[in-house]
Amino acid sequence: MKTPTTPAYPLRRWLLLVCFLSAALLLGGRAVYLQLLNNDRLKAEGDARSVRVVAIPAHRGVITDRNGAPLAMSTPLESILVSPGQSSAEAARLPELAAALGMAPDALRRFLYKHKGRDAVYLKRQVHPDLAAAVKRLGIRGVRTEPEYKRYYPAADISAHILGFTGIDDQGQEGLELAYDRSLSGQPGKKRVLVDRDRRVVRDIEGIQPARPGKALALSIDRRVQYLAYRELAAAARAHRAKGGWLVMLDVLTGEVMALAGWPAYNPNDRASLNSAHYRNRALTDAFEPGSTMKPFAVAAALESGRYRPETEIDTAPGYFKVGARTVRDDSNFGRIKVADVLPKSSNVGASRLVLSLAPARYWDLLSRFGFGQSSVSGFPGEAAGELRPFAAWSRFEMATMSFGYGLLVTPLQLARAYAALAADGVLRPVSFLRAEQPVPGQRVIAAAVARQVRAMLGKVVSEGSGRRAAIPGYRVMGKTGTALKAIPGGYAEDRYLSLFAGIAPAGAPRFALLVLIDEPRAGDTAGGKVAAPVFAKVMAGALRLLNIPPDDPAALGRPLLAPTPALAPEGARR
Amino acid sequence: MMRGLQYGLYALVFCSALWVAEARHEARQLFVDLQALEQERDQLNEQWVRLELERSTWAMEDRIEAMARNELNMKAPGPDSLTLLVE
Repeated sequence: MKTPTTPAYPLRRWLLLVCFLSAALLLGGRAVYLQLLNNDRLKAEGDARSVRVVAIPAHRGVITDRNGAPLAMSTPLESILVSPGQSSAEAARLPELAAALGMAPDALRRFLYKHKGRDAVYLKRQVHPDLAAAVKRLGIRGVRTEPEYKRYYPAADISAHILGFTGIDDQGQEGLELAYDRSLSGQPGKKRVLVDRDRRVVRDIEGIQPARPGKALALSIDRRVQYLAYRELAAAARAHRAKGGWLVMLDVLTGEVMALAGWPAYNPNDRASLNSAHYRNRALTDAFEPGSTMKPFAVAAALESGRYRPETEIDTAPGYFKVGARTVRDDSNFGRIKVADVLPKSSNVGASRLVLSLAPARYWDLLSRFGFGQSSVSGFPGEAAGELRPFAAWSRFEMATMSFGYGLLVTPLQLARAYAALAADGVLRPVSFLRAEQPVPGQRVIAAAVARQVRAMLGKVVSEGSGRRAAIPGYRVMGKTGTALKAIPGGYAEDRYLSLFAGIAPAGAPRFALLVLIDEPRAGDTAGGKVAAPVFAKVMAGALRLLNIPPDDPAALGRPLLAPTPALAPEGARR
Repeated sequence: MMRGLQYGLYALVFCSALWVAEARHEARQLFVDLQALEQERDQLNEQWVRLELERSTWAMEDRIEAMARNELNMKAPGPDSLTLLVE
């Protein structure tokens, strides 16, 4: 058998081999070039198409009252974003999307056209997660959702002035939300994710920075007392057709704010209704002339000088007296009265005579020790310092008017704090909106004996003076009424008043100082003893009961106390 | 001798490169798990917040008071209907 000789084409063979080899080299070289030499650019290009750094949302801290009841919470909602370029391509499906969002299809189209150059725009912010899920289910290209938080205030208008509110981006804008924004706001984290061409997250790759949720904030407010305070204040302000009203309640032992209410208030949950005129927490930001509620400090200055005792007599006849060219007047001629009667009778002449007999520097010093003219360092945004002018600039008439609360400006909080210092036997404490975890040290501003003497006089204001309507059955109450003319440019308005009552209870072992201020009551009564004192009585009575503070004057209830004796308890009775 | 050491070090570098790749892969895997767990935690947290808000809204003092007064005809006891017990 003859083997057919295959013609050998060595040249052709070599040629082919060289071709394959060079092709292989070319490919290999390209691979090396792409993979090893020039890979940064390609990697960057690839990542740009598929890898994204996205934020891990961190929620804002909860604000609670002193007992842990929530006052402000961030609840998760979704925002709907759209990439106009991609979504416009699905023109046929836009009506579906518009219907789901409750928009007119034309409006949606116009919206997309307007933002056509943008990568992504918010279509709707802060929608309910259910709606967001429904929109997602439509599966329209370029539409995605993003988690967002909305602040919700369960107590709404009741706590509005204390808490303030946050903006749409969850930043504090007013009140404590602003003051403690740093610690409340969480810090969003970052992570790298893999996304598909519609920018939906396919999977997480790695974390860059973990999210740090905001810290919770426990306030000193008691929500129950706050509610009661707001309700009574609003009721009184409405009944007296007042322009507004403010109430500050402090814990005497710690300086904590138990309640702080303002009227008219606003509902922080309803952003549309926000009226900037009502934002301000005027109990801290506005100062006014406090009228007769300043008299206790004039009496304290007199007692402190050592030249007066409560039973020292002073002459207030004939019910007015001239200081330079001006005249200080009383409501009637009280004649010779004891220092202890200056407060119950609310004698302007008496208070003026006491103060004018002192060195201006001493009186100024006492007022500034009680915190007048200084911020209470509560940390509340926009807190005013009031005004206490330097004594060198005082005329004698000005000094006299300051004794009954004109010619100086104080904020409601300052006044309440000064009364709390009287209640704490002369120890002034810093005001705190946060729950105090331990006893708060204060600063002694007046001798305990003087504070007690002034308190005894304040007790007489309620038991037999102008503050009778502040009385609470079963408790002994101390306080001072005030009816101040409002200053207007060029003098004082004759028909515009501030009605005040500042008080302390229970007298035996003072726990709370409470200031009530009704701004321009216009329904007839204007006297602090008639307008503000009843609010004090209702709020204080409720607070004492809610906080389980036993009556210090049970005899006044006209019934014996029942002391349970174990022998009387029926056998097997449940405790 | 020197040469042997050099090859040994090459081998070690190679192993550690592999180990880095392995560790990185594992880290990503764990991160994915962590994200899933965190998502679950967040969802539970969200639910808790929603329930807490709901509870707090139902328990608002004004609502309780309105119901007590209007629907249940309750009233706050006056001082004369109070009895004090002293411990």
